[in-house]
Amino acid sequence: MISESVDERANADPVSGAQSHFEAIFLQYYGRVLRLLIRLVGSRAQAEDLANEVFWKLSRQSEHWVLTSNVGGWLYRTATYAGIDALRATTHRKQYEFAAIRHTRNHEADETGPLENMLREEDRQSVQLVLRKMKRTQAQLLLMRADGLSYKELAEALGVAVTGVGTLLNRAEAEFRKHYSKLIGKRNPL
Amino acid sequence: MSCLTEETLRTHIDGELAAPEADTVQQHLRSCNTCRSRSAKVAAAAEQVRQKFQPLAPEPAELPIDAAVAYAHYRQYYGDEIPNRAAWKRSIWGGVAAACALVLLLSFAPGRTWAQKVLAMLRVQKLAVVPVDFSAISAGNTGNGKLISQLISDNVVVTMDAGKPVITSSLETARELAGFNLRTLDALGLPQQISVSGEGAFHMTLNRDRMQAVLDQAGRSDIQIPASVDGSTVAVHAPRLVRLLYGACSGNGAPSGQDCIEFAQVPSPTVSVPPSLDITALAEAGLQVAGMSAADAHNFCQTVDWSSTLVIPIPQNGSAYRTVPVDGVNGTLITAEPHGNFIGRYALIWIKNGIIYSLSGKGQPDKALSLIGSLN
Repeated sequence: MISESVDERANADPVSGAQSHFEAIFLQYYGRVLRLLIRLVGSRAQAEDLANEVFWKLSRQSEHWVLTSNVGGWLYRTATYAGIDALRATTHRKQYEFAAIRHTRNHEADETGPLENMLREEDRQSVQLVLRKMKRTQAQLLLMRADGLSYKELAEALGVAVTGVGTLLNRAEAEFRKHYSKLIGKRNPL
Repeated sequence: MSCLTEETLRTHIDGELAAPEADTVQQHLRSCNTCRSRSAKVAAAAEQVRQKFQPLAPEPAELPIDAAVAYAHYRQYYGDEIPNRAAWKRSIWGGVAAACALVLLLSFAPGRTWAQKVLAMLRVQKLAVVPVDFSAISAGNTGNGKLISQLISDNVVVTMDAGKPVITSSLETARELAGFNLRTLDALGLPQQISVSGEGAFHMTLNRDRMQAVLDQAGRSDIQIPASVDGSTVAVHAPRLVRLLYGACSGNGAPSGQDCIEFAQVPSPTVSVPPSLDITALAEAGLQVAGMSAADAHNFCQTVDWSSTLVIPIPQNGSAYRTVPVDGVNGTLITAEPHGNFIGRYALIWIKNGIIYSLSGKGQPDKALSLIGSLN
């Protein structure tokens, strides 16, 4: 399971220590949850807000980390779910604002030129647009895989058999290509 | 060796095959042109998408991430209130348990299942019993049951925590807490114990994709969750539930022996669903998950007014039900037949003046039926 060590601690002390147990989970998973959300929504500030909401939700729905050892899977699934919701709710105007902020910051932070940044931003928005249109579970699968989750972690996060993850990935990628070609294909073919 | 499956090819490409199998696959690829060509195609397609995702990777300026600092901010924003685990456990299940209390009292089934929960929520004024095959979900298939339970619990948000039941021996106290007039079984004297559960409320937003994915995973792709389900929020408000225990009962609630009779009463829960939600189609899918054929599920659902009916799923085998007159209305007597060391179980359920009543216990129902006349 994803969270063996943390959950073993919880089982060893079933009544007290909720605070420290929650803190341990937060420290263990926050980085990955935030990275996933940044990948998805593109704005660190928005991703931080979403990550906090995910952990708050966890704190209210303890079933998953007290009674099961799949807290990591629950967090990744909930985070990508919330991120896709946020992506679908984000207006185009806000996306441009986020893009402008990222463009300025990245331009200051690295050596890449403005044209390269602009193209990268366009690519990012294209993928986000496709993810918004895809079936949620397929978008979640692709995002988590892109963030480096193993087949076992993906299976636990999405509640599917590990022996079927490869096929699910193939299908999700086929869907991605189909939507990408339809939505973006003319100006940037896949 | 026969040609490799798409799954094996993809798993191999992603480096997720264990060493012995990876070696076998590698050997096969060396000798099989077809599979080598297929493997190259799968790899190219995967790589294409992988490259498209690269721009999503966080920029160096967006890293590093200091979880300790983030935790301090989190505490600052959300405060120190991290409920203890016992309370958390109640918070997730308290509302559900209150809403489903009467069904759970009957717990003939091997476990609480998705079908029970979904069907139990859609109830208000009338009773209907539907025999289903619980083994389709639970027996020998606990993985699916777990997936389904997880699917439900992930989407439940408790808005009013029922809290811990109040235990009392005073009928007056129980009446005050419950807020409605309690019935008693006078022939049995005073109840040994009275438990008053808190008021609870929760809502859940249905996610068609995930529900369908669980069905696919369970090998039931033939069952289609209706599109109207997606994004629908179902809200349940469960009033206080009162349980009166008579006779030799264990301290913690459930009837423990033949001499223990439990008399539960709860005003009907209210369930809010969006008008666009096709409850009948959803219930049809639920019944098919519970082992009913598509035709039977369709026929049954046409006979039920889902806006006002409490549907009680019971196992097809080993249980029976019949209508009996009780308290001036028609009630439903459900019995589980004795077998082996199991002495049988019964529950008599009826609804009167907006209150749902359940008289239940172990053994045969004769004694309970004879007590009906002493209802006060």
